Amino acid sequence: MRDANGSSKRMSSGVKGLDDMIGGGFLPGDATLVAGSPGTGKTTFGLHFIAAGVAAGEPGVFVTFEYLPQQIYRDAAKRGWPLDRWEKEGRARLVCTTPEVLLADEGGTSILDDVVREVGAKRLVIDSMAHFEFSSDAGGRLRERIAGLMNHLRLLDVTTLVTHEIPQIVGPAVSVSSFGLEFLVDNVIVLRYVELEAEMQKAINVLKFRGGDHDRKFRPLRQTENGISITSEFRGVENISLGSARRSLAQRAQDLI
Amino acid sequence: MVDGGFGGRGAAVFGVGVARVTDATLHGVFDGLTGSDLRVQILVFFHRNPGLVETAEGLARRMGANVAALRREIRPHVELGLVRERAIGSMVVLQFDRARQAEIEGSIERMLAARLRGHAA
Repeated sequence: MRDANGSSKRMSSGVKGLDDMIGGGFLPGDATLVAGSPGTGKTTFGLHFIAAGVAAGEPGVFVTFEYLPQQIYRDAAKRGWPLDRWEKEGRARLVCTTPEVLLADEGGTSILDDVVREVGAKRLVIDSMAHFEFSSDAGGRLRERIAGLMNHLRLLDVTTLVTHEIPQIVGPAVSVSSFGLEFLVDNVIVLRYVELEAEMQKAINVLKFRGGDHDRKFRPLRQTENGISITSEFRGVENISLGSARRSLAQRAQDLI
Repeated sequence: MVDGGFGGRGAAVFGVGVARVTDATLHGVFDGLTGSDLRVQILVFFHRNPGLVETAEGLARRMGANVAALRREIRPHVELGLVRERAIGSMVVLQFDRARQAEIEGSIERMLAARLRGHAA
């Protein structure tokens, strides 16, 4: 929480290199959207966030609408995160459900409220918000409903990371979501594929960060057996946001010389 | 002696209050849990995915099972307390009760240990 000077303890994202891009981590209580093309590592991103919380003594809840818990346990274990053990120890909780069930209200409380209270969660991951679009009762009130959810999460005092899919594999993405999710969160991180010298690479960019100044560069994102890391930057290339990067004019001139 | 603590309809299966653990008690438990292929599949599915919170329709969809059959075959698990039903909003959702699972596993262990001791004597 923010102190009298307006400063606040940052919460590590758990992703190597990202905290440096955002001034040390996320601000407590903020909501961050990680949007990306299929296979760019959105779910792994969420697991990093939960694992960093467990390491910092901040219990977390991971809500999945798509993958079954057994898939999440397996993927987490491969990266050295014993999610099932953390659950037994009350340091994390994995919930697999649908948006309708998660938010259904019974006497002023929901399953989400219950599970957050049960583990004393400080961190929450919702993977993925695209499933709200699939819900039968979404209709035209989806944006309003998501805005309400985001405000409710602030009341629950959790720092939230939500994921969303960008259907385009490469090429320019004109919007992150069809219902303006990027406007309802505090921070937006985009994960994209970039074709560079006939090779498909992954790139990360912090598009929006309310917590202060942030790194605006596209940086290469690497997925290793230990998870995601961001260690360097693209040098001498441009047009990364279009998905088909090319050598910059300066780089081409330098190459000629 | 069978461990106490099983209230409701699950208690009948476990034979709470019965002085001796009998074969019939054990058979009752196992039959309740494994009486059909779908009943076993439901148990395995929840065991592997303990954080699942779903309606019967949603669970059937995730398991690729028939909803009517699932509703029928999940009853023994609900009666035993392994699966909890919860009314929320206009829905009834199903969720695995991990504490109950540990309790039942402990009881089965103790029942088997008691049987083995009986055989040894």
